[in-house]
Amino acid sequence: MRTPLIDRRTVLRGIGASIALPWMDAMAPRGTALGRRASAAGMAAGAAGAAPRRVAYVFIPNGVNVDAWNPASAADGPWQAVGALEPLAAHRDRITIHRGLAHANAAALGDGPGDHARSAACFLTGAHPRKTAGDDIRAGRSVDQEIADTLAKQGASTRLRSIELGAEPAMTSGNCDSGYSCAYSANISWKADHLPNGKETDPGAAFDRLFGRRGETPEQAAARARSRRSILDGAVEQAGRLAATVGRSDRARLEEYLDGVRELERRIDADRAVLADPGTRLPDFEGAPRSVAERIDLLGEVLALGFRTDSTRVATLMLANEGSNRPYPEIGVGQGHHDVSHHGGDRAKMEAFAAINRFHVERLAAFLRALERGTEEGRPLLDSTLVLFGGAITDGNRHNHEDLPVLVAGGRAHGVAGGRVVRSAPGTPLCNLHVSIARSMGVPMERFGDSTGTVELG
Amino acid sequence: MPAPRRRRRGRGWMAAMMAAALGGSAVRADVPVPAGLEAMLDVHCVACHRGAKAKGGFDLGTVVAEGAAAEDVLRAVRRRLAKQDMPPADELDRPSVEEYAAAVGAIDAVVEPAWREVPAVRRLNRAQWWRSVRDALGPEVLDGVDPDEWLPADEVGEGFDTTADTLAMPPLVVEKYLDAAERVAERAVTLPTQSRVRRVAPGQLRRQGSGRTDGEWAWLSTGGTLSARATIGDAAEYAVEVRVAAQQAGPDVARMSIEVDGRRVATHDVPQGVDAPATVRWSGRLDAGERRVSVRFLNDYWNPKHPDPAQRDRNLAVGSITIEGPFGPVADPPFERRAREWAGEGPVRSRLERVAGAIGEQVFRRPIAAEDARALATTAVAASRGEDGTDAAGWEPALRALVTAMLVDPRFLLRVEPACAPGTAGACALPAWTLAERLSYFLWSSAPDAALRAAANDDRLLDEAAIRAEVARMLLDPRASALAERFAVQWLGIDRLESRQLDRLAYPDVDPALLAMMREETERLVSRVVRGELPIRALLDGRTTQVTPRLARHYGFAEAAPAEDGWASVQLPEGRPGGVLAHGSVLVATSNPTRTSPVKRGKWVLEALLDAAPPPPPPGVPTLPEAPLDRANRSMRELMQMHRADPDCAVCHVRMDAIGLAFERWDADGRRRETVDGLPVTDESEMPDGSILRGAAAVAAVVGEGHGFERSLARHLLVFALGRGTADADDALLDRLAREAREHGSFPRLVEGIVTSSAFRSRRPRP
Repeated sequence: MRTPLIDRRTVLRGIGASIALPWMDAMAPRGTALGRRASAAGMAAGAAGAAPRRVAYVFIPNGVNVDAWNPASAADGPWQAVGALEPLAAHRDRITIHRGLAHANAAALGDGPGDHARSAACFLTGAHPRKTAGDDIRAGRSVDQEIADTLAKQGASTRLRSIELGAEPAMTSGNCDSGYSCAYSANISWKADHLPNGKETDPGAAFDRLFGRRGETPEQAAARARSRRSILDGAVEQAGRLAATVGRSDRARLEEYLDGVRELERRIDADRAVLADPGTRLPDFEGAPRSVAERIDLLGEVLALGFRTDSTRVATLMLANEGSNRPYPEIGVGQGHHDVSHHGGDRAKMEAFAAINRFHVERLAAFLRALERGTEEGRPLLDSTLVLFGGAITDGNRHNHEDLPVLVAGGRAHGVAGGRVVRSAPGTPLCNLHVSIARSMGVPMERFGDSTGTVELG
Repeated sequence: MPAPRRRRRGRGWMAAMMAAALGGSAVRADVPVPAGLEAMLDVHCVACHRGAKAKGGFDLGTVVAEGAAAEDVLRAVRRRLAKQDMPPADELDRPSVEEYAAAVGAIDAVVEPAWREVPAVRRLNRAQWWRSVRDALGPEVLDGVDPDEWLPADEVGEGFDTTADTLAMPPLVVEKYLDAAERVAERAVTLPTQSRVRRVAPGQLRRQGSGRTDGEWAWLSTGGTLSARATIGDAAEYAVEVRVAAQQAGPDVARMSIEVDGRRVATHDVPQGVDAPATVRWSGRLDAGERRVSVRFLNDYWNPKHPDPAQRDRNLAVGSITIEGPFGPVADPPFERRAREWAGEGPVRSRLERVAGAIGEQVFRRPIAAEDARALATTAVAASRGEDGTDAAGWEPALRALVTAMLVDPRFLLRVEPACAPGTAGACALPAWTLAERLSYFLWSSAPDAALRAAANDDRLLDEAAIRAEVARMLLDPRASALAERFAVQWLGIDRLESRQLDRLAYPDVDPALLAMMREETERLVSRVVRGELPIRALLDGRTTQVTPRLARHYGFAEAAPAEDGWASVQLPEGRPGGVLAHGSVLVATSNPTRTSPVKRGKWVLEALLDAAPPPPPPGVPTLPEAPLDRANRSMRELMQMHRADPDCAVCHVRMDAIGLAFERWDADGRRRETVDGLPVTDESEMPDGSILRGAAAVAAVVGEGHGFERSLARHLLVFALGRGTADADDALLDRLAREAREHGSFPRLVEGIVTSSAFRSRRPRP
């Protein structure tokens, strides 16, 4: 039997004093819905004989300053926590650096400029996105969605099949990159080849999605669940009638609508037992994040809690949109991220770029700490969670897609040893690693994207 | 029938661009090239576009030799000729305007121009959802709500968030719309509640600032707040009670304030110590929703050197915050009151049926049949049943469920345009109800109102004169502000300007409030053009604008007394460019966080004002260094000259940079400046044809030549209106609209031209 409780003080100790996390105050006391759900899920998994495995894909845009990124894995033997990767020193033996992996489909292939849009769209799909400013967008189905759907088919009854998070909202005007729709730059998770998943950028709203609306009594929550069921039934019926009035090729949106409604109905069933429980009190959450670091770290905390309670097992998190030109005043970078990524050898820009790389790596470290604090049968959640961290542009100044900045953290249960560098032959598809990770999640996957085999997880 | 298809890969970027320009077309057998066109290709094109070394990898040699070409090759040629940008402008021997037109016509005669049609099913985007809910249920239901908190931002396609193909509906979006529907219903209909007491103990208070909590007391040692959160079901009178005490030190007595959601509502002295604590009381109105009631410690004192240890430190202690209420009658929200009138008397189900009948047409944008209303009422009753399955829940929960059900209904969330009758060749006219919907979402970003529905109901709207009459009426309606708030801000690239971050060190005065004012300045100018008070060209060279006192100070304008709404109309000072060109909104949006960006400004002028976007730079090209005088003390202007010296860059940059450099007098924060990095500002630049641009006003003159500006406006407006990108088949319409608009100068007439076009009034069956 797992211990369903998260020790609140353990959680708070690890969080920087500058970051107030008031909602943690009320975190899952024994006997709450949260605790109980975790416990029920634990028992179900226990009965099946294996702890659930989780996977999180964490994305960084604009490539990296390779002079700051690569020294950590330059020498033979274990990797060194230096340069941009220095903040990972405490997790050195839990992390494997991958070198030599590439995304050929992120390159132009005759489509001209637009590496930013292509990279985000290609990162988890391995596909070469169709160049369009809006009509008929198309990339590919992403590996996180392949895994999430297979886990659901295998009987995982998590509240959400997957969760998509990001620290920067979708852009709202113009072409985001050289004639590519903004949808390409702002999404890495694609439910279908024409259907980006969108993402939640507000930690509070993400929390609500995973655990139910804050400030709601159990009676209210139960009443709302009952009400939803009837209302969604009515909606399904209407959608069926509308479908009869449009041509076959125009039914796709209606199908999307129906899929979304059915997914919600499924979740009501999963929640019923939990919500009927008297004395349920969901955690509270206060205020909007005040800095980029806080927003990202809160998203990471919410995600760790989601894994911890087995509310989902598959996640994506974009630390910023691809091509993002947001400045990072909190670390003294007043210039835009994209601006400094095209440093052209300018020393000040290169330093600012490396500082942003390092800042993002620090966010990874914070997320890994959150995963360590959560325990399951006495083992840290980090053991059962594999985190793929990286992007699909290598050198931000050159826009190349070979030897991508990619590392794998946690995932001891998946077979990640850590502490080492896995060197693949130059040009080995990143999709090979996607296949390896999917398999480590128990998903039988032969090929994915342009994969040619597998890569040792490390 | 031409079909949208995956396009062919070209060689090199020029070919890629040409191919991208093809739009929907199908690979077919070659078609014969019309004789006149063949001669033209021979004279003007093949000198460069021939054989293996053809410019841009685009070979027309075989076309001329064989007298036949693939359809998409002819479409690519057509696109270039229609834009008249091939042969290049510096070519001495170029076809006349008539020759260009004749060649385009000749191609159209043998190859059907590529066309696009919007998908028949699209969802309401966030802005449309917002306005539709507001117009159906009353503005109160959304008062004080931040759209960002409820719904995710929409993806943008073709430059606008109305593009149907990008308005995807993944599960996250469905869920968010359901959740938002529930929240709206909760605000539209309140449940009867009894007064109750919520006491928040020290351990549950949320602290900002330092201090400790020891059992009975939560301490504030250096200022800061202790807060209690409460879910307030009904807006009404409530009483707040704070148990409080202080440790005194220094000359003053401890002071505290009570705040509601950060707003101070009461201030008190606290002379009492923990041995005899005080109870401080405040009564007042709390709005429905999550409220935060806080106690703030106002006057910290700390003097470690005071000889008496008891006089060194002043602290405040809170023993509890209690919120009690509601007191007195709770007023029903306006929607609920209206619903009660529609509902009349009788069983709950019949009453709901009448409410559904009353609002159904507005919500669903089509007539609602009696059985539809009945089905909704049945759903609502089922949805509000108690746990034991009885119908006992009563009127309010059932009405809430009805509102939720209607806002989740696909007839509300999705716009569905009926398919043409089977076997229809070409386009079929849209029914009046669909036309009404297109019209209202174009002009108002919202659903048709009663008058427009009446015109749809008796098919009057199918008549062109009736459409014109509706346009005239609708553009004068306040809801037409949506054209400024949704169309213009996306066209000009200033949407959500307040989320832009300029470097705080370089531009300390710029904050979100100022940026919002800049955006509103532009929206106000656009709104006057929309209403026909100002001509279209006022956007380019008009000499008036509206500013708040803060904005006027920021720009350095003379003071002008603002009207009641806080805005004053002012004449632009001499030397400041007209129209939107020197609006802070545009100048900020086309800058980098630490400096102006002449390249972005040049690109913006070409893209937004002339619809002639340059192709993006090839990869591997560095951007300019941030510090303007590094790189061996070269100025920005010199650095830009460097990259124009590279022929790969020069193709586009000669034009783009010249335009952008003409804006150099206008800083990234929208202010006039006389120096850049200590040197006098130069805003003269040379255009590719050798002419000299003197300042941004000269840019307006260049943009204003011909009707390129009108065509850009017309095309962006058409994309926004239709929810799709344009294609070759739209050229004729756009050319006509642009020509006419250059003559009459009236935005309302431009809108009339769009909504009476067959592109707007009919649809073609999609393959």
